[in-house]
Amino acid sequence: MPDSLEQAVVDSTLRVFETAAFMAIWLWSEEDGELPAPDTVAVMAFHGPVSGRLTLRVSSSVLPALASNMVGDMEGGDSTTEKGLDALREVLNMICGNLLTSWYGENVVFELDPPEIVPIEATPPASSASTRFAVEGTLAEVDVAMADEAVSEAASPSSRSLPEEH
Amino acid sequence: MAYNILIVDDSAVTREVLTRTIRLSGMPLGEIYHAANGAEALRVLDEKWADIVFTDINMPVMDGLQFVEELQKRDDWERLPVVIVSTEGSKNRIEELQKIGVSGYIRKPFTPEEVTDMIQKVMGEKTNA
Repeated sequence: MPDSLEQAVVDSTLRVFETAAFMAIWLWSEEDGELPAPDTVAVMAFHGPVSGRLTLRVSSSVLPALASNMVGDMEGGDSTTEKGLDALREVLNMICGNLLTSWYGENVVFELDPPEIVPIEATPPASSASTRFAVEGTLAEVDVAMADEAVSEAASPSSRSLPEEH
Repeated sequence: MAYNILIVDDSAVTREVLTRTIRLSGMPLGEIYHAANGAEALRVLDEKWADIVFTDINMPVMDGLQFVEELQKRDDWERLPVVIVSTEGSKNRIEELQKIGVSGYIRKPFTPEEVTDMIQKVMGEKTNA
């Protein structure tokens, strides 16, 4: 069980990129230096006892490899832009599902909206939990924005409970 | 016996991933059909025979739960094994799915072994039924 929401984000992101996309990814640090910034954004909302939004920003340069790795196309063939974006949406979808189960437990049901690709200029502002990663020599970012920030701050290991129903 | 598979998911990449995984499983395979949502899957089943269905839950037009409920209404589809492949893994949701007749559940991201084991489990149970 992760100790923090950020750790849950890290664990879920690493697991999905490594297991589904066979990509090496790690938490960005200053040792990685300045990496090409993301220029492609996927967003999805989740609804349940708590609601919020998960945002994944990546460089478009990783999309062909992302799609090829996921479908097992070792020659990196027909990785069209649309396939790359589809792969990105699916990666975000998996990160979200894994993150919510990891953080809120297996007894909580969430409804997930379909992931969407949005223009970089329309990217939602950074939230209380924004995590940076290095992948394929580029920067990737994952943001979790809770509809109620107070709920997210209360979600610590000692007080991680859902709002009581009345 | 070669099994026909129907894969239902709004993500073309996921459909390809599942197709590849199933082909690598070593199971005797006939045809593998694709559908992007539950409504399209029902149209496929109107014309093609499937021995097992893999379906996502969250899809536009008709989601996975609605799709399974529609299958239960038809005598010729009522016993069709359905495996849910989804990112959401709550125990409550899995229990809800089992109550409406879902045969199995695989959580994304999945390993080839998980898919292979599920096919063997589901088709073994169908053979013994």
